[in-house]
Amino acid sequence: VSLVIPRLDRAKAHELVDEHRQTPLAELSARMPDLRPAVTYAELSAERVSRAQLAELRRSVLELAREHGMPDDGGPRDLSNYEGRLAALLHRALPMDPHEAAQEEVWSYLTCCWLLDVAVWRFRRDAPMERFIGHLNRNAFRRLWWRREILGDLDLTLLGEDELVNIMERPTLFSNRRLARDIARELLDRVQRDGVPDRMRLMREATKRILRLTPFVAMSSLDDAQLRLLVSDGFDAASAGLAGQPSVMATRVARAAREASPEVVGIPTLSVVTASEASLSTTERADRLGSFDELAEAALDIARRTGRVTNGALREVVPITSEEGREVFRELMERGQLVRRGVKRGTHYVLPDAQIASSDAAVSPEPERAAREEESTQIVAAVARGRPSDTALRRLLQRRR
Amino acid sequence: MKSAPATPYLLPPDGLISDHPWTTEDGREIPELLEHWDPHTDTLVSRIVEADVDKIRSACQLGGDGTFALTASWYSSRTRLADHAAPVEFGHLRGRVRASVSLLVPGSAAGGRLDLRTSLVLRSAGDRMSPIAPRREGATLWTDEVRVALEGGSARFPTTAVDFRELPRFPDSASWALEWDSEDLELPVLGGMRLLVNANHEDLMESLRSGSQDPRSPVVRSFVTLDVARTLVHGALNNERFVEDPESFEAGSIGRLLFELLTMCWPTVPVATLVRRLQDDPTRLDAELQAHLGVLA
Repeated sequence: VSLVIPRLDRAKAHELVDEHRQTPLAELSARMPDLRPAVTYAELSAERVSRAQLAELRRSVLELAREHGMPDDGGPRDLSNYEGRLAALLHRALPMDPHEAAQEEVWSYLTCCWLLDVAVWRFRRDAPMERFIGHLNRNAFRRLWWRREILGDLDLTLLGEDELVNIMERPTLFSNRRLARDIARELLDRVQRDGVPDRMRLMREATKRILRLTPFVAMSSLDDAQLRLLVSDGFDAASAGLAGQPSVMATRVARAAREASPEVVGIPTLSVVTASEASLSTTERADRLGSFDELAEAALDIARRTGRVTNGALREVVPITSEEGREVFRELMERGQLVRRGVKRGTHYVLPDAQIASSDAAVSPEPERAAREEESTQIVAAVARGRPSDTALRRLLQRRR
Repeated sequence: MKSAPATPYLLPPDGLISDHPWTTEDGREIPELLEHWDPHTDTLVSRIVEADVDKIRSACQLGGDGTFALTASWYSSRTRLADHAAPVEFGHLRGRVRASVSLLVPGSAAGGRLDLRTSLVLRSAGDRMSPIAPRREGATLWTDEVRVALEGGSARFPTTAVDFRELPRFPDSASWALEWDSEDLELPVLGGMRLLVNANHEDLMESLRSGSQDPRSPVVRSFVTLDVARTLVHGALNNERFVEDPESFEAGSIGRLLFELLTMCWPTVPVATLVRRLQDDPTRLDAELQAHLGVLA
C-alpha cells in the first residue's frame, strides 16, 4: 500500500525551524511531534498515513539515533552505518510512491513536525535551512529515503557519503536505477575483492568516465549484462588511470546478430526506371555493366594511370552504384591488388607499390579534395592518349558512350 | 527532430530517419499539456519511426551487415526518474523500414515535465566498416526528444479512494461521502476536506477517473458535483461565523472556497438573502444550484 503523507508549506516550515532550532535538544524532543500547523494532502490520494504510523516511525528513528549517540554533541557515531540503517528504516516505514516522495512539503512535514530534534542533532542547530525543509538533496531524511529507493537492497552502510553523493547528485546516474546500482555494486565488489586503497577517488574517476559516454551511448539499449560490463570497463579504466597507466575504456561490440523485432516491417520501395532499363533482365544488366573482372580491371587501370582511384572516379566511367563500387574495392583489397588510404570523403585506393609514396599525403583533406576534382580529367586525358589501346577502362568508356 | 551532439564517429544525415508524433491510447497526438494526467493514471504512448537502413549504413560507413535498434525512454522532472521500453531490433532488414515503439509511463513515478526520448542506436557495425564508423554497441546515431507537461495549474477537488468496508461510519455499499467539518472553515481545502469515493465500486471509480472515456462518466460526475456543492452551500449558510463575514477567510481555506462557490452560483445575490432563502424555500435554492451547475445539461 502506498501512503500519502501530510504536507507542510515552506513558509510554515521556516517558522517552525526558526522557532525550535535554538531550543535545547531535550526540550525540543519533548515538543515533538508539533502538530499545530495546518497541513494539506495530495488532491488525489489513496491511504493517508495515520498518526499511529508516524508515532511508530518517530519511536524507531529515535531508538536508532540513541544507539548512535543521541543526544551527545558531535552527531552520530559511525555515520555511514547510522545513515545506511536509517535509510532502510525510513523506506520501510514510509512506503510512498516516488511521486509522493518527490514533494518538498512531505519531507518538510516529516522533518519539522515529527523529527526535528533528530535532524538538529545530526546536522547541528546552525545547519542551513535546506537540512530541515524538504530540499531535494539536502533534507536530513529525504536524501536517505531516495538512496534506498534508487539503490535497492544494497547494503548502504558499506558506502561512504562521498561515494553515495557521486551517484545521487548526478541526475543522469540517479535517474537510471540499473546504472546507479551497477556502479555501487561494482565499487563494493572491487573493495571486497581487491581491497581498493583509495576507493573514493576510484568512484569519482569511474563515474566521470561512465558519464562521459552517456551523450553517445543509449544505456537503455543495453541489457543487464552489457550494462554491467560497461560499468566494469569504466572502473578498469579508472583504476588504470589512477595507477598512471594508459586508461581507455574498452569499446564493446555486438557478438551475435539479433533478429528483427515483430514491431519492424520493411517498406516496399517504388523505383523509377526507364522503359529500356526495365526491359532488361538481371543477366542483361550484368552484361551491360561488364563482368566483375572488367570492373576490377577498370579500377586498377585508373590507379595505374593516375596513382589512385576513388569510388567516385570509378563511377565516372562505369554505370554502377556506390555500394557496387565499394564491393569492387573490397574484393581488390582482399586480393592484395589495392590498398585503402584516407577516411570518409578522402577515402581512395592505391596500388600496393605506391603505398609508401602516397602515405604522407593520405590524411590531409584539402589535397584530397583538389585531387578528386582533377581525377576524372586525368582519367579521360590518359585514355585519350591511347595507351594501351585495349584496356578494360577503354572498353568500358566506349561502351558507356 | 534534432541530431545527437558532436560525436567521435559518423552520423547519418538528416532525412534518413523520420518520426511520427507520439500518440496516446485513443490514437490522438500527445498534446503539450496532458490535461487529465494524475499520479494514479498510467500513460501509454506510442509512435512510428521510419528509417532507410541501407542509406544509414552507407552514410555511417558501416558494413553492409550492420544492424540497428530503436529505443524509447521517458524522464520525469518531478521524480527525476527515467525508464525505457524494450529496444525494437531492426535485424538484417534492408531498405526502408517502419518500426513502432510504445512506452508505459507509470503515474506513480512521474510528474512535472515528461521527456519522451527516441533514439536509433547501433547494434553491430558489421564487417568491413570504416575506422570512423560507429562501433560501440548502443552508440546513439539519432535522437528525438518531446516534452510534455503533466501537471497543469488547474485545481482538483481533494479526493481519496477508500474501501468503505474499512470505514465503520459509512455503509459498505455507499458510493461517496464528503468528509469535512462545516464548523472549522479556517483549514486549508487540501487538508480539511476530501471527497471519499468507494474504491470497492469499480464502475464509479472508472467514471470518476481523470480522462475517463466511460459514456456514463459525465452523468456520474454531474451528480457527484451537485451533491458536493449542495452539501457545501447548506453548510456555509448554516454557519453563523461564515454568514457574519464571508469574505474574511484566507485564500486556500475552506471558508474562501465556500465564498467563491456562492459568488459563482449567485453573483448578484447577497449571502444574507441566500440564508433567508434556505430557511424559507430550500427547494428553490437547490433548484437554482442545479440550474447553475447544469446537471444533465
